[in-house]
Amino acid sequence: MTGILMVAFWNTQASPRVKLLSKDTLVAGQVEEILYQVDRDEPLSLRLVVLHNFGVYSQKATVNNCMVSFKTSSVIWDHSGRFELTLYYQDKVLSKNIITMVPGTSYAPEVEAYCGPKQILAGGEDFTMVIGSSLDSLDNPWPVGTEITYRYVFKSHAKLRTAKTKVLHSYVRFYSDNESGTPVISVAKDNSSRNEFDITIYPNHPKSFKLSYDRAHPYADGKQITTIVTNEIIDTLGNRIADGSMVYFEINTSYGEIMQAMGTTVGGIADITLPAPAKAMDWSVRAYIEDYSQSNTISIPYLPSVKPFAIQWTKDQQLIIGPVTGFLQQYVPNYTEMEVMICADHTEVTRTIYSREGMAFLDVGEMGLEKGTYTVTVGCGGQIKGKTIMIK
Amino acid sequence: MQSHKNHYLLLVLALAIALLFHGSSIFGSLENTYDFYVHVFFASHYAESWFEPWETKWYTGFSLTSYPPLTHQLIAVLSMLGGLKFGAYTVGFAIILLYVTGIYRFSKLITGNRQAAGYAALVGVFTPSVVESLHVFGQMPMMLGIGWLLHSLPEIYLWVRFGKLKYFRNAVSIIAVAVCSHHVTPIFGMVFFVLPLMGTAVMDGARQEAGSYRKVGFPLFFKYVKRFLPRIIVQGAAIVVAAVVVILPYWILSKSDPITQVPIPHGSRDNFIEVFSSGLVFFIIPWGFLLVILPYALYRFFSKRNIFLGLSLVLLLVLGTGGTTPIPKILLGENAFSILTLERFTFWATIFVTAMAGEFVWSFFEGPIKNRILLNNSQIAYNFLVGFMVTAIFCSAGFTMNLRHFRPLQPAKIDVIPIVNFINSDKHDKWRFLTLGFGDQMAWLSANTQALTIDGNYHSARRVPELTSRAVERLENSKYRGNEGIGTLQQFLTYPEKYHLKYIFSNDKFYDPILYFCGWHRVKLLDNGIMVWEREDVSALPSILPKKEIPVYQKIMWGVIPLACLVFAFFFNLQLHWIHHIIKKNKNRDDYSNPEMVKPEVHPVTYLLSKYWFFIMLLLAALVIYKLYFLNLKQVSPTKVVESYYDALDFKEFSRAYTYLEAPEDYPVDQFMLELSVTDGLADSYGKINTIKTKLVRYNAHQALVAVDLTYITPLETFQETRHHIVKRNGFDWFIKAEPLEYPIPADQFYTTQTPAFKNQGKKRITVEETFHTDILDRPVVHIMESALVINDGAYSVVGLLQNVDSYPADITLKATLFDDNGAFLIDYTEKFEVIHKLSPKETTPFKIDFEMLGWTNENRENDLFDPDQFMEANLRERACSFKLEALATVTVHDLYKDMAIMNVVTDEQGITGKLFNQGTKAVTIPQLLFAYYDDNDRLTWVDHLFAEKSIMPRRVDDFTKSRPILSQLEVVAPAATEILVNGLQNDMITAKYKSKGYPVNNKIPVSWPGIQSLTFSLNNYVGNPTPF
Repeated sequence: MTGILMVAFWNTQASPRVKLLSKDTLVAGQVEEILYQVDRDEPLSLRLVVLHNFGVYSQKATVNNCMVSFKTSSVIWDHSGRFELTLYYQDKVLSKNIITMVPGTSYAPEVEAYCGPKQILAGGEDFTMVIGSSLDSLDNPWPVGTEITYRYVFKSHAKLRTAKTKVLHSYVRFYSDNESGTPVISVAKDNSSRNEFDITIYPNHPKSFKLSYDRAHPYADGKQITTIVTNEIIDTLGNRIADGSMVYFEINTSYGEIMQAMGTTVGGIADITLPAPAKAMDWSVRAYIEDYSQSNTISIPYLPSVKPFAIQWTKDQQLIIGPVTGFLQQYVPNYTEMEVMICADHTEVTRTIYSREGMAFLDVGEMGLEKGTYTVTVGCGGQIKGKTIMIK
Repeated sequence: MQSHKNHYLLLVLALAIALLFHGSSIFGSLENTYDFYVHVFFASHYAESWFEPWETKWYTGFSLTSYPPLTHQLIAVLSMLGGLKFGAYTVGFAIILLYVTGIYRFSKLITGNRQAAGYAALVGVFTPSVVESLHVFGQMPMMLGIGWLLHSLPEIYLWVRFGKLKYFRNAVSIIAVAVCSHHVTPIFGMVFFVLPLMGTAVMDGARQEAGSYRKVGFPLFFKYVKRFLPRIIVQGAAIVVAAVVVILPYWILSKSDPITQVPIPHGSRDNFIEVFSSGLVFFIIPWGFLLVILPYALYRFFSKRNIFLGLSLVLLLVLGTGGTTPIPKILLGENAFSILTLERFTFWATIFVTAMAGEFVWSFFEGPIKNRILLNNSQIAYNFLVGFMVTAIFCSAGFTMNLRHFRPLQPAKIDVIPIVNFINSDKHDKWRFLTLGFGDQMAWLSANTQALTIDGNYHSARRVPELTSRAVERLENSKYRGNEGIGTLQQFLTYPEKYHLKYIFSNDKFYDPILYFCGWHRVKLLDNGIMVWEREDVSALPSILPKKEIPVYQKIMWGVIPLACLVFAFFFNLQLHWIHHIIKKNKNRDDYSNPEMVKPEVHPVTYLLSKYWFFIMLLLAALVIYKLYFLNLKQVSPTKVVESYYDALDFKEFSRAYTYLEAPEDYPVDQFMLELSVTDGLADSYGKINTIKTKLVRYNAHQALVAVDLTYITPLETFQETRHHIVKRNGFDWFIKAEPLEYPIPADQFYTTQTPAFKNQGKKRITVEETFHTDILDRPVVHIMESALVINDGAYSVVGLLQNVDSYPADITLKATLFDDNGAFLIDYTEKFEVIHKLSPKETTPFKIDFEMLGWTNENRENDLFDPDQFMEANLRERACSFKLEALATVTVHDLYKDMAIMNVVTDEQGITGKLFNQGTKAVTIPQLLFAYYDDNDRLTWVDHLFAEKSIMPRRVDDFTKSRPILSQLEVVAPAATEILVNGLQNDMITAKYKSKGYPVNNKIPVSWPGIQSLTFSLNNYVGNPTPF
């Protein structure tokens, strides 16, 4: 009877003594259980509370053959780092232990890496930064001080850097070369590597450039195309500037008019095409890349393309202009523009008409002008002819 | 007994014809109606989540408890069998059966004549307003509601008259279903149908005592009012309670979330004489042939028995005339007038007249009218009238049903599958989308996808202030909503980030320019011809969207009560009826007649009135036909032919336009059309002529000079133009002297250009995962070269100059924020038209950001003329003193056509003139010139723009003229920003690194305008049809 009472007292009052059998340092992912030895063989229910950077985790198990085993099936055991284990029986703490999970380093690591910026300027001022880290199969970083190798290959030269990880990762900076292009970077640890990174070194500021032009003939026929072209534009380091770069062309004519055309470069060369003026003049052409560089100024002269022509005034109130001939004695092209100005004391009417087969007609009768004497001026290709007419 | 059988035969015939007539066309018509897809969309919601009324797909989410659910829930239940459309059509059939039997019962109630009721069912099949409601407007819930209401009326009458509880039970059960179908119908029905009918019941009660209606005087009438009053009160209260309880969540929502939005303009509120089209759609068409028998119906309704129904009819008739007379506005009050759509009053009035039309037709075929006609006329005349009547009924209904063929109500059917596939691929459903030019098919798209749109087709549920504060029904068809429509759309396109709006599906080229100039670009032309537009730098929707929760009991009520009501109504009104029939205990009354109700003769005055009314109607028809004929005379005068010519051009009827020309032999119609096709542009391709004003400059019997002022409306701006035409007479008609197109012929038959082609591969690995880090390009480096906050004419603007200093083309997004002198936030806004969004490497663009008010309030602008330039500047509470700028850039490969040149630029006092030349190989549909103005201190102070009217074909030239800006009121508020961020980095850092040290901005053109020392210009080229689309 006393014995039974003693057991009951012992059961309720005295806590079991336990001892952690698992090692202090374990490899993450390679532990199946956390094992404690208990000083009695009773089916006691014990609770293990695990504290880790990723959170708190609690698990129950029952004593069997003086042992209690906690299965490490939770993902929390996949992480490396410090684990604080507290074993409870009812609300009593039986033991407190600390174990350390280390990453698996017995096999080749996986390499995690990032690189950026991926587009940098040539010339050595800009750089791209590469970050590398070696990880075990459960994504746990290898210990601090792990050496990571960074390789850089561009054209005929290569760079090799190593850096030791600090907290999780290591990094290096690769400064740009003078030449533009696409270097390749890789990050490796032992025999494991990460897919390569392509970065782009793009050309630096454009340098000044030169203009030239081309055309079929020197006459201002209002039609033929003049092509103005830059030489190959390069940057200050000798690289051809990026395709699609905008080159603005500015043209001042001898009549004080302004023209502006835009050309984008292909292979460093930009060109523009403009129709020749309709009358003789000189063009002064300059091009620039806004805020960076400009070209020399070239001059393009245009000669008169139209020979002097006749104007007739018919009885049925029509103006007949022509035949208007061009610089090869040919009729001017169909739809050549003619400016007709009909003036009297208080009236001034302007019409644009177009030639056909060298001739142009204007039905003045239909224009509803008042009767009287008018002066007609016709301009075509820089040639100006006048005539006095009487509207009846 | 014979009559009893006959009228049932008529009813069966009516049902058969109804199923044939409506049923055969319902498959073609319903999908082209205004509302059909909205109801299908709502049904799709119930099919997916029956007990969760919150719908996220439209606007910023709304609750379906804002609309009675029964119709949609029925469609949803039936959709389990054969899909949503199957469900909708089945409900459509049910509506037809319910309505025809309902009109039969109602007619029997008010005429007391079974034969007449049979004829009413027949006539009811063809009632134009019913055809219009179902086949043109697609108002399924309203039709279901009226069907139930008509069935409830006999029960209400019998309850009031005889006080048997079963009638009360039947009436309330049907009214409850009507409320669940369409709450407005029974609520207004209470006023216009139920109360007057109770008057009839009282009158019949009094007559029973007096023996004749003639003997019913006021004392007797009031005696019966007093006797029936408890029943009337109980019935009225029961209807009110039913209306409140069965859709309680609706009323709770209405109270907690009242409709606070600017009323949407509706044609039914127009003056029908001034706006003939509204009169046609909302008065003449719904009335149709019923107009002819209106006097007869009025005469019969104003009999002593039905006097209250008669008064109700007159009230409905007047209210249905909209804004034609001031009476509806006075009766309803300003507020209710501008919220209610008044066509439903006409609808109810026609239901009244249809019920009485049965009696007219009966009388015409076998009753007193027939006898009266044959008394003075021959059988042939009678036969002619029979023929006329049948033709009028058929034509009226047939015309109404096929209205969509005369005037398309909806765009052609769009296959939504390619759009759904696009949305479902590559996580495109993470953003909101918007449809343009889809009509009501946008609801069908929403029913087929899980993606969200900022738009919607249920304007009562709108919560976005930009929408509720404007009379814009939806963004989707905003071009039809004048200045407000385009203005609202522009806000959404300009500031899409606010709504996570990234994709636009466009079915209407009209919107293309506005999309382009707001910074959007084309991504893909889908198989169904829909163009997908996209905007860069819009963040995805958050994973948790705002939602307004309602208590669980409301959700359960909403999900359970409507169908439960339907089951109860069926049980009480059909099942019990049937059981009683079987056990031969059917004691339900079905006879309302008394000897006084069927008149053996037609009253001579009514007969005369109807006869002359018939002639007046004929005269009216003749007048309309004459008017139409006169309108069709297109060449009667010099001005008329010019108007006709531009009208034809506006409607793209080029062959017709050509017939108005006096063309020389060598100018055939092919040449004319070819010339038109090569001279497109903003006005010609995207514009619509708003006004054509002609003036005779000179005139004689054979020839005239006509000046025509044209105003074009385009999505971007309004264009005005004056043209002169010589017009010549030939016979009776006038013709315009043809002016063949003349322009210089460009050089070089064949030529090549060198243009870089770019490609951004995007995801290089084929995967449904997020784009890999390595596949995302760095943001291009851009920098703000200068910027300033200015105030001009009372409105703030941020102006500046930006350069893409990267080696990749950039798509830019700008945002400016204004602060007051305490540094407190005032407003922010993004760029609109005045910037080049897509920049080549090293390209610069000036920009101007205006601060637009988000939404108008309390201004009735429905009568304003269309004005796409409409801009409401923000009304800031404090004076802005400083500003912040943010620029974002992404790599782009779109819309980089830069091969344009500006030639022969001359500046003078008036402004700038010059020519545009297209060096390249693509047609620039809309060239835009951006002008940046510099003050005496060489500081950028203003930016404005010009859209050239005509397109520029390759190697061709066109003129432009820009008047000088008036900047006398301009004041620089802050010459520099307090902070400029570019891609999240400080602008100063970028400028220090990238800005070259030697060259100033080059291309300034000196001018001598007040306050302006020089200017620069830039070109932004919209290519309408870029290859390879």
